[in-house]
Amino acid sequence: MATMTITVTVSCNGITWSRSAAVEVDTASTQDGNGGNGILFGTEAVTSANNGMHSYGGLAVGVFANKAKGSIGLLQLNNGSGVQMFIGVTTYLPLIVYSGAGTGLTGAFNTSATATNVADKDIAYVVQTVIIGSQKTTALVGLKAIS
Amino acid sequence: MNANIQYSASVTVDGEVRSVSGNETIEVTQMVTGSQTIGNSYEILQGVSMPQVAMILYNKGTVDVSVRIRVANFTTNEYLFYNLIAGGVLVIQPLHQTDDDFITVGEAIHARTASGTAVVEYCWMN
Repeated sequence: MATMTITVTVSCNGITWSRSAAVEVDTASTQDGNGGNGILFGTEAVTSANNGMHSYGGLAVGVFANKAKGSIGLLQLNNGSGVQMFIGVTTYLPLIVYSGAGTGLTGAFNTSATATNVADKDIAYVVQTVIIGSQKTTALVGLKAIS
Repeated sequence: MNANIQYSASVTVDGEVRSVSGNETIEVTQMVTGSQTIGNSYEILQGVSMPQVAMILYNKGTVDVSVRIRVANFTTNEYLFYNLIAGGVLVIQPLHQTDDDFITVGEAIHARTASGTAVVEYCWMN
């Protein structure tokens, strides 16, 4: 077991707001995406991703940093079964995702026409594209059994 | 005014440190911080004026929180959801793409717990 620590700190006009998360994981993986609609962190079961990085059911925790200056990246979360969500990622803050691991919810994300739904879809893989500028994502994910 | 934003994620596995981090200063109009106690029905965290810069959330509770974003210009999926786990820090980015291929700033952010109540602390900037 290892602990992934994620900290975000904002300082503005003499005020500092900082919060940290500590997530237990079995192992971790890193991947850099640099152009071309790259697929990141696919499970070995997702054949369409052509990139089976791990044997877990999905990502337990992930931090995706957009490192292309002046760009707005676009990351797609995909559950491997047709549910996908697209997030524009700035360079000043990362995309952070968590999956359920026994403290209530059973997934990481969801998209729906129903207002009462919750985040109950696992992340089987992530696709990197871009809204504006170049594509350059540096990612760190933690892996463990997810609910 | 300037807002300095720093983030880091780090884990050590078998003696090997793996990390990602960033540090950038941007211009913002205002920064607002606070907290809200939420229950297991969706209640609003921010409406009408979605963060033009970002909203950062921290779940101080012991149960997961489902964060819901309502978007306009969609075909089917009006709502997007994130899991903010117990003890987690989540960034709500200013832009999402809907299933109608529109890039949108979103219309409102709501949250509910998986069960019971939880305190969600926030920092939002525009």
